[in-house]
Amino acid sequence: MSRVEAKKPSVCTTGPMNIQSVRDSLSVLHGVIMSCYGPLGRIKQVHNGTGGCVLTTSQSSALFNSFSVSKPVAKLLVASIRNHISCFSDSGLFAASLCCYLVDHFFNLNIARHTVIKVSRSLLNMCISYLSADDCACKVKVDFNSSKPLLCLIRSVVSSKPACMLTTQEADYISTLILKAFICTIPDKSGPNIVLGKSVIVPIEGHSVSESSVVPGLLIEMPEFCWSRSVPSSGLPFAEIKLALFSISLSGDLCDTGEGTLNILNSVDTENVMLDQLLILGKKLVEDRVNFLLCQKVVHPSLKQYLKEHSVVAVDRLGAALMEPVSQMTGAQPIASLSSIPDTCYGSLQGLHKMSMGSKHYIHLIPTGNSVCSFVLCNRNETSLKELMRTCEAAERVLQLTLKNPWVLLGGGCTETHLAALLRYKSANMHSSGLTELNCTAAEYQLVADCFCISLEALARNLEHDGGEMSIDLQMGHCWSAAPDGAVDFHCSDTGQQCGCGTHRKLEGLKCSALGSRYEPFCPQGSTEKQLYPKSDKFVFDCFAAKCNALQVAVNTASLILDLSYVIEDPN
Amino acid sequence: MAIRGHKGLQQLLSMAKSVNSFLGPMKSYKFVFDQTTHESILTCSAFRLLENLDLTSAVGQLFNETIQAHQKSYKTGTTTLFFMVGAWSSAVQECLHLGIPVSLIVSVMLEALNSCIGHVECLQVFLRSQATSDCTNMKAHSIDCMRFSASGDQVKCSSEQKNISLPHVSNVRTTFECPAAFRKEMSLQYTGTNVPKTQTYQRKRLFHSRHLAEELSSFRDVSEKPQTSTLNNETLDGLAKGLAHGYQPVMDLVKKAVILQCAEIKENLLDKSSFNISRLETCSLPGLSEEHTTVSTGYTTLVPPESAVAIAHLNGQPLRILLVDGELTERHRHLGFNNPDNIRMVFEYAGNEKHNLEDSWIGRAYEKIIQANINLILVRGDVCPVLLKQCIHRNILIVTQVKQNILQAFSECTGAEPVTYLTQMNTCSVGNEAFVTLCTKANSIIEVGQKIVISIKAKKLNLITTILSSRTPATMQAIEDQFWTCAYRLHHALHEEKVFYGAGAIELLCISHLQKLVQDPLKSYKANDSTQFHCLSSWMTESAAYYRAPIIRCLAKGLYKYISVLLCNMGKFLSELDSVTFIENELQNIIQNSSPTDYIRDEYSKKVLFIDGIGIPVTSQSLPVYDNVIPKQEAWRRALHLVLMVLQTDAEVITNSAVHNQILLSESSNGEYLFL
Repeated sequence: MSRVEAKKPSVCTTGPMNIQSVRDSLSVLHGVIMSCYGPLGRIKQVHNGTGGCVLTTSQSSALFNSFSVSKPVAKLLVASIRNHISCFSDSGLFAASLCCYLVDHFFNLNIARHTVIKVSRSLLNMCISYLSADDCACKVKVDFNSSKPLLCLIRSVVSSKPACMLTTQEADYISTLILKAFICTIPDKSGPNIVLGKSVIVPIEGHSVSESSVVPGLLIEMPEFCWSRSVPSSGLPFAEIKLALFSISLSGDLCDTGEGTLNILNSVDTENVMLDQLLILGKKLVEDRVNFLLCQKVVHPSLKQYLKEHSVVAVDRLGAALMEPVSQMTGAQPIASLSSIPDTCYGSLQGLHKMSMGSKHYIHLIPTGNSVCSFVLCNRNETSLKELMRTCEAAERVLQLTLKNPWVLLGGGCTETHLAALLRYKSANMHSSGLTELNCTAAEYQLVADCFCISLEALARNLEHDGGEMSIDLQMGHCWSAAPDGAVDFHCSDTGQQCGCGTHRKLEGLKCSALGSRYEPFCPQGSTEKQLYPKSDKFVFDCFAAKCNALQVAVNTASLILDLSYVIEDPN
Repeated sequence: MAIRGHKGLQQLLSMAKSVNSFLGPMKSYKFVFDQTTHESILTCSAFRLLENLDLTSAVGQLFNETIQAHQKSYKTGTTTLFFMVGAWSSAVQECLHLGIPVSLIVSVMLEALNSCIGHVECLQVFLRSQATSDCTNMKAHSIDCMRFSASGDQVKCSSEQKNISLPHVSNVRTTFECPAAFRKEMSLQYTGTNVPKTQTYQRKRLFHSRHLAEELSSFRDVSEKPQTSTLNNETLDGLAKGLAHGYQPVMDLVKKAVILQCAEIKENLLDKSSFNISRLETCSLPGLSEEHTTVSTGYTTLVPPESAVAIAHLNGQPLRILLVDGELTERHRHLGFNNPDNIRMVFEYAGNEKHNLEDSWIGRAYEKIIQANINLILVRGDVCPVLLKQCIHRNILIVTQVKQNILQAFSECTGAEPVTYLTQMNTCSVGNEAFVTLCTKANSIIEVGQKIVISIKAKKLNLITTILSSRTPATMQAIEDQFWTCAYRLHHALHEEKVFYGAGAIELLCISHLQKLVQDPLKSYKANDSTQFHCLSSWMTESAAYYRAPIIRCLAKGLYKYISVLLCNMGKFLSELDSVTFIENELQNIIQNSSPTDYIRDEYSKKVLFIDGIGIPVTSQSLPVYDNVIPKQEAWRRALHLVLMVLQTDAEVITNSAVHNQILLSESSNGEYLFL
């Protein structure tokens, strides 16, 4: 009989939430996120305190998926960021940090919350419409005829993760490999129902990053001693290969016994019966001239021996993750029964080879098409390798998003400062019709806009972790980094040679002001030169779709948090 | 949150201090005593020490992971890694005290280490004594030639040399069509991290790294070299002595094992393809005197004394052998077989029939073994005791707990294919011409721990077992570790075909190189694109030039410390002050010399540093001390990566709610913890 416990009733907070408690619950989370932001950010170690593996990372996808927060407001934020990351895999820290800044600054205002929410929504719409417009000065169209803009984009993603411990050359090399793997997945012919191929990452620990590579087809790990047991003495088949893919277990056990008890007479030997069935299956495969068998689970040793005697190579323990790529690559349909196998479910391969790297051995499946490729990724230790894997997956996602929406935003904080300058200018010259629509006064509008812009600027400043200062130039609205304790004066004497995204060099006559201080609103201009990339290839770009969505997520979540009054908790 | 870096580095430093005495040829043993279980182990190797320590902090776990990964890949150089982690942690802390920004420390140190590793390649000693530069006698297939170099003494740092760092045969093209996407790409500019920027090489085949070697079934002899130039026994002797680092007696055993193994394959030919380290085994006899230590071909193992009768009977006869990759028990099923829980056996008749599954299984197994006329069975797992007894009565020997690589070795030479179940037995599963003997010493059977020692041989078996024995059982593990360390050192040296000069030569060259980098910063800095700070728009790109000098000096300090501790441990100097003075003198000499590499090569190729087991320098012999190349470089890189990773980590996030309550209840939080 199962235990029955009375359900505890839900608990509600006694009064509306006070601002301080909301602020407190977000402040620690914000501190953690702020310090991870950007390529110069710091790394966090996440573990569960009782032993077990330690996750060392600065990436939003890893951090947010492993956090466990207890405060309800923080839970709300984490949930909405997780949602964003699951779709876009980039700009997670940006969204979370912007949201925290907005909440913090909006709470300081003495304006009615619903007005704040309305005005912030209108500011968001202004940003999004500006970014979507054709004459936006902080986005660049991606020309797919050249690899340079894509490489810049990938490099920006790869080099923003310090836990990978990559040197500049290694970062460049990995970027080219990621681009190559992505191009592999793009189908050759156009037409209806185009499906992007897959690139499977094969991690190998202990080698240097420069030993990574991209190979067509799939690599399946096979230890040394398995080779002599699975490969027939005639060697690996090298011509047209017929392939059978099994998703059920061929290990000869009774797997699907269902619920309840099964009564078997002792004279029935279930294992023998199963083995006989397996051998009949083996005979059928040999008759159908299949020369390669792949199984998701385990194959019975007797069946393996039978197949080997009849020159069929058997590879088992494929795992669920590789089933779809194999199916896509070879056209084989996973077989889920031991009998009545139709002829149409076999697939084909062009070749099979053995590949070794150090002490690891793989069987290399070479396809006839080119939809699937394997990305052999190496790094010196497990921590950096895992971080590099996540980074490569994020970069692939960014490329897919850019394929759909062929724009990139200027990175390095320049888009944020540009948008802030623009919003300040527009809010200073706001039409009265707009104000009546929103039902607020000009002063209120200005205050909210000011908070919004300060948050954006604080984000740009957050890229600096080593004590330096940031300033904004008063012509194009890009951000410039300056040494600490330097003279941040009107003439930008102490700033770096180029702006955050790399598109502008420091010129004579450039006037700037410290980021975060008050400056005269100006309309930020775009760059006069249209063609950027032939000049240099060291720009910093951000993914357009991810950043726009991050902006929206941040503002919407901040509005939601502002709107919260009570918390009802279910203690069961 | 800025203080965190110090804390993590502090932990690393305190952990790494314990291995000072492990550095160098005169190692002092340490006891690791567990207070809860009251067990202790004796060790003089860094990774065993770390294995037995309780590492509760996250940084400690990262450290452990790094050490274990290095040990698994290389089995040598772990002490260097351990020590350098400590040395560089204190160096980085010094940089932090100077107020240098963290990102700059990371970037400059990584770049300086890369530059060092690239520079010391000049001090490599190549093992081939003949130059074979042309490949005209290679086959007409498009196999890219392995480029060999001239003897180490005449080699200068040329670009030619740098390209051949790894003797792999690069990919052989076959007839398979590469997909269109790959064909389109032109050759890629790739600059390896070890190579100075001025030398780049075109990579022709883009989608195979130079290290991914494809073996094709149609080219079985792809690794055949055009010349059979060899390393003769004298060179092997010098190499072994130079790599021993104080484990001279154990290294002698390794040398004997290597010579024995290569003699099986080819006469007097010793190159990297003939020494196969996976065919080396050890058999430990704790408690017996050291006289029992020998090296012999075949597989030596321990079996219960009841088998002695069977062995006496089988002695000298060629035996039929069966290899079982599994267990000889009724219950055993292959991996992946899941017995469902909800099955119930129903017996048709009640009564006295005692159905014993096991008995019937034993009967059938016994029948099968007898029918196949098998005399010897090697089993990877265990065997059912009743079956074992029955077989012994029929003079069939069953040996259990045989490792996978040994099964492989026997499979290759006797032609027997390993089976998982006895039902799989067929003509291919039984091999021939195996022999078994009792191991004797002075006409008496060797017995240890209620087991006897036997030896199994076969024709063309390339398995060599080294019997290690020690009167004090506590040192048994240490001796076994030493054996494997020496074996792997030799393996790496033969495989890479090069070694470094040891005894601090490489470190000295690095320090002088770093000093030169410091003195000449601005000129070489702007010229090299690769040395620029990776975040080009940051203010640190400009300031990097000014901060470089102290950072590089701190990096050099770590290497300095290594040499001074090493020299003290070698017995050359009595105090650290003396060793530091010596290092300073050497550095002065190097600076004054026009070619530092020549100077060091001259000095260290005839170093009188051959110290035998009891610590007395034997001055009549002058043999150079050697170090492995890749294990050492990797040890440095991994040490620096770990230190820089910990430097950049500024917080730990603990996710367990149980720990949360613990912290709330304990009173010693002191503001150390913040709650999410």
